[in-house]
Amino acid sequence: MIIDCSLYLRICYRLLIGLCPLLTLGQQAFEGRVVDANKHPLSYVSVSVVAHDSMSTLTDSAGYFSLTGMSSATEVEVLFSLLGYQSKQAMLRRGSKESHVLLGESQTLQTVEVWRSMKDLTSINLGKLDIYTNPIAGADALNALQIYAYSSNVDETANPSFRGSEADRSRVFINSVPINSPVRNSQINGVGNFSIFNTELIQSMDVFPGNPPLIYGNTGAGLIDIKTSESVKNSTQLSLSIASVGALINRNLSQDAFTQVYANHQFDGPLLKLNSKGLGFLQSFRTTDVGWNSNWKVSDADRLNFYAYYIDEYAELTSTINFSNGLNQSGKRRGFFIMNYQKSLSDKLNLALNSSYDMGKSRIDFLQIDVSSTSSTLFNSLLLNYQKEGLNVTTGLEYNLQQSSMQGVGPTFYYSNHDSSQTQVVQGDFGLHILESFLHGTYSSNRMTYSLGLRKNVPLQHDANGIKGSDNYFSFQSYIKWKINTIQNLVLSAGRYHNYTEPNVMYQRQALNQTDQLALDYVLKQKSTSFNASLYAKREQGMSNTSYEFLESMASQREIFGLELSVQQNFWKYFRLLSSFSLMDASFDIEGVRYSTSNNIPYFFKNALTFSRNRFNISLTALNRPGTRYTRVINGNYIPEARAYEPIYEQQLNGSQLGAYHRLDLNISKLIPIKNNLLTLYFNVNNLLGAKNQRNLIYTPDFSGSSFEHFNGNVIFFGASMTLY
Amino acid sequence: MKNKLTLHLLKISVVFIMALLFVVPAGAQTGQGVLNGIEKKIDDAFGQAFVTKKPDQLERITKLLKEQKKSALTDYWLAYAYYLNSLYYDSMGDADEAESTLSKGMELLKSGSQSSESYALMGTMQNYSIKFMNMLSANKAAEEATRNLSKSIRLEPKNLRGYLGLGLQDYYTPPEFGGGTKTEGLLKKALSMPDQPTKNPTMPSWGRKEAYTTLISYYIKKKDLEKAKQYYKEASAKYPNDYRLLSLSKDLL
Repeated sequence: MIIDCSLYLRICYRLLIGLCPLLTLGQQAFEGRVVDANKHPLSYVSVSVVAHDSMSTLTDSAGYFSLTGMSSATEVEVLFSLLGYQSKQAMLRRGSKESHVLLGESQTLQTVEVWRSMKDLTSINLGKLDIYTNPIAGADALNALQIYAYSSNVDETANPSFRGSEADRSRVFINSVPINSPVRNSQINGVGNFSIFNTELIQSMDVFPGNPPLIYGNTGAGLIDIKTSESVKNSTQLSLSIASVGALINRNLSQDAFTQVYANHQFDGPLLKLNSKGLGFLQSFRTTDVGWNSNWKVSDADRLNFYAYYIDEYAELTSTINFSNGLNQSGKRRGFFIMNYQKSLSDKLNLALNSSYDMGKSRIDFLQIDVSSTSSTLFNSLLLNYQKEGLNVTTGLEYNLQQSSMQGVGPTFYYSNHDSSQTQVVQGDFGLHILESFLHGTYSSNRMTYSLGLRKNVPLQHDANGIKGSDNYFSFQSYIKWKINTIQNLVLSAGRYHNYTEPNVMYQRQALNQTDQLALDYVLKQKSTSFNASLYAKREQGMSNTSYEFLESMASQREIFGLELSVQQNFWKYFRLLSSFSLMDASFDIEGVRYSTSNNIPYFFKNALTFSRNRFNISLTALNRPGTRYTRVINGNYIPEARAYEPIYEQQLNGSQLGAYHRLDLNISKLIPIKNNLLTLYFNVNNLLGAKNQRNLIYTPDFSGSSFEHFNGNVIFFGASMTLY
Repeated sequence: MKNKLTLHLLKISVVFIMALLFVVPAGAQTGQGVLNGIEKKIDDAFGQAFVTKKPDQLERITKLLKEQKKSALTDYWLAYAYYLNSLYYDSMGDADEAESTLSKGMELLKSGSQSSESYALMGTMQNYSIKFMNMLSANKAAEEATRNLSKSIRLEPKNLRGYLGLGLQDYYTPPEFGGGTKTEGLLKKALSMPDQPTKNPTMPSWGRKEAYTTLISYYIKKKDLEKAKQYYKEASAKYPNDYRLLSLSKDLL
């Protein structure tokens, strides 16, 4: 075959001429550039024609793209997509060089989770399993907190107390709805030994021991927001222990709805017989409670959750209150209902509506005190949340109505409560309207997050003279979070918070409290190690209704400085050590003189060692601290009309101190699979060594002699549960 | 000689023109590079590692990805490459290297963008990481994996890999802890999803094979051979040479 150069040129010419229409077609392209919100070019963005997804291209390193091949169309609808960014559809015009497409970053889950969790901010998140595997909790959600450095609880109750503040300054929420008195078997000052929450209904808890975001109101010293289950596995759980029997049913009603129902009954017989020495102060108790939690995903954008609870409880225990020792009988019936509704209005805008109604009736009988109370609480909140890029803003309106009344008799003189004491009528009606609006925002950029929260009330309260508007206050809070690297965070936070105390039989007052806080928190989290350090300062104004110390409860100024260090280390595959140390300097002011608070503890060590292998767990927990402080009565002065001796206190308030507190607990559990079901056996010994930890001082009627009241001695508890799938 | 040269020139020109013809109208593939079709490249390198008993190809891709400008996309594929590399080391009995390689991948996803795909991969890697963990951390890791996989689905309800991750987790959870009750539904849901919610050559499309093999294994375990055979037939039509499917065939005979 002979082909010369001219022929070659002719063939090439004809090929090019023949292909011209196709090449021209290629040149009339749909072109443009894809950039992010900061106008930075995005490479590797897939650009595909919606109607013909085989026609696609990718953007180059400068964000440019060119789509050809659509023979006649002058406009075409194109889909832009890139991992980490929201996909976007846009109309492109052929030949236009001005097509700039902006892709927003992926919708973050705060959009759909903002109501469920604020844990990415400054909280500590505890899951259900954290509660079950907690060495000191006994599977109780609120007791689980006591192992952590930030818990400054010193009275073996379940009421959360954070960083030296009294329990009534902190608040417990369920799905962002406040729950007053979150404990069972509550005593005369409102504190109790177990929470009212069934751990099986809990998904997680967000704990804010320091400066919580002002999305939450009526809390002065931290809070806990309990989130109920997000999903369940069909199962039935039956449980039996030496003090309780119960059943729980989890059912998926459809792909988008589930329900949980439970009932428990607590009885005293075997527990008290076995622990007659360790629980000598406890005469009898019985509790029956039922609960219900249901979740319904109405659509991709709507969710509904219902939670209901009812409890009927009664307890008799020997206790000492204001120098009087006797049988304390208390009974309560209470029920509440919570509804949460969440709706995504768009990918940036969300709405939440939370409602609850709580009502209860109780009676307390302690020597000459015989008081019946009723209470009801209504809560409604409406929240709107907007998010764009690193900005997250939430605003809302909240109304909380708290009403209670007390009727009965009580001793005329606080120190005189015996059979022949003078009594007086106790009658009190309390009403509290809290109407507040708030604005809370965070902005994240690279490694920094900035937050600002503002909350303002509409003054609705009347003062003692009946003048409306005596409760005008403004709360604010801010923090800066520095993500040092993937394993370390540093948060500097400050805020002013307000909350109302809840009246109880011992302290019949509804006072407005203010707390100013400053905190620096450091967190290091690695695979096997986590380390936390916190430094904080607080100034509290207002009175506390949960204090055991009568004189101290009158103080209206408290200052607290503290340091917390804690480390959790997993080692040798089967071991975990949780160790924490806290140091606190807390004082209060009365008439310009400063005194140590009763819980002013120079040190508090908490250590727990756990071994877990082959579904067998054993843990030893040790708590060590100095005793709490108290004001010693040095003498008594007989008051004829009181028919009793009036205490004469030592000069220095809280100038005396109880003996050091040492406690060692042992917890053992074993999980045994039986076919497709699970049997759980557990055995706990609280205060294993039977240490006689002093709780209080009991005086003779004329205050000439005294002896100590002690915390629980050695207490054995065991039981089993069977989960059937 | 001259004619040969002319013929040679003609051949080159025709090839050039034909290349021009095919390339230009195809849409000016301006973004061609290491990330285009990256999943196949990593999967091939993973397979290659077992043939050569060395993860050289995987490590080469890892190096290439590290050289790219950092983005959610590069983080994702780097994490995926680490994940497969970890699987390789584990199968070779080097648990320490497997764990350390897996950790590198998880760190990337932890600090990076929170997309549906990132959550799905993170949840999958967290589930796998449990085997290297202290017993006391395992439950917590499983809980976090569930949370991340659920987030993945909430962000993109059509994400096959989100359902797959939850299905695998349920499949490997012992029955006495409630495992195995949702496996079938979740894996069927995964199979009903497209490989990619949005077609994109740089985005992940893995998971369908794993969903098939696990669902078939589930039916075999439940002794429901009829359903196992039905899904085996469907899967082998799609992946006739997949060794995991082939290894399941003996249980179906």
